[in-house]
Amino acid sequence: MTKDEIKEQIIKIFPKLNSDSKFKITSRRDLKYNCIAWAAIFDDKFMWPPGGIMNLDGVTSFWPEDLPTDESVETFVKLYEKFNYEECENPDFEEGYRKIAIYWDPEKKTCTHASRQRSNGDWTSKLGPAQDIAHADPFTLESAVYGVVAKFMKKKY
Amino acid sequence: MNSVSIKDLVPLAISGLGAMAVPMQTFNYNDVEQNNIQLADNNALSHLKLAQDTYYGDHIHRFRFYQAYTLWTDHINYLSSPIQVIADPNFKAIVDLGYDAIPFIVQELEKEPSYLVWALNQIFGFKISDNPDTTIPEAGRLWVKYIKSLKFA
Repeated sequence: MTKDEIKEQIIKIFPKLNSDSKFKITSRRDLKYNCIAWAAIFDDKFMWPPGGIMNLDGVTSFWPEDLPTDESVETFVKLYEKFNYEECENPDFEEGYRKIAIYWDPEKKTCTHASRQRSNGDWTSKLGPAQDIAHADPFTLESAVYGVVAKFMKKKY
Repeated sequence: MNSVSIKDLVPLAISGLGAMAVPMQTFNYNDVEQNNIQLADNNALSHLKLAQDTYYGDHIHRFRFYQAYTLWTDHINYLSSPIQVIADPNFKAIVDLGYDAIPFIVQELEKEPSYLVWALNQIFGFKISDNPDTTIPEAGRLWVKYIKSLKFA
């Protein structure tokens, strides 16, 4: 499949990317890491709360013992607090800060995705087992699959 | 009573599978007897029974596996949550195939890394590696090596 075909396939799932001028594919498909790890700048871990899934190969046991193990947004906020992020109001670029966005499914009330702002103000996301992409802002990934942005967090570089 | 040959039966049986929804129930190859269809001769009947146990069995498992696998990969292609990935009914259909799914899982893992290693975790009932640093692609390679050592695939 060519890059353009992959882009078309991604746009079908995330239609708002169609009008995102920064949207591009930035990596190959890779199952070593997922979006949660990628938001924390790991590309060698697959991070998810271990509630009931620790019998699965490749899902890292990296989950701080003092954190809850459910899939709520609050649990993921606590995870990123471990990496010195704190909640903030918006995704606007602030010099000297790195921001992340946490997405959730409002019906199931579970976290679905996380994306990260890069030092140039663009955003980066790992799409499940698929590719990394660049996108202009966190909202262009809002969709039936990822739901909507629930929280923004930031930390100093 | 109708008289039919194996040649007439095969395409019907296979195309009938295509109409089934996933997850599918066990395919019953006794339709010939249940529908009161009389085979042309006893040799044909024994041939059919042999085919059921070998060639057709394999094809039916292949059909079931790839039908579930295609739908599953479409559904989970952008998901990060392992809980959502393994909750998909098509993943459950793959796991329900049990050991019959293993040759096809190995084929897929040899092509590229896949969440299919989680189906192997459920079919075999254990993890291939307790090393917390083992990634999904590494786990896939370990599974292929292990299964081949069992002469399973």
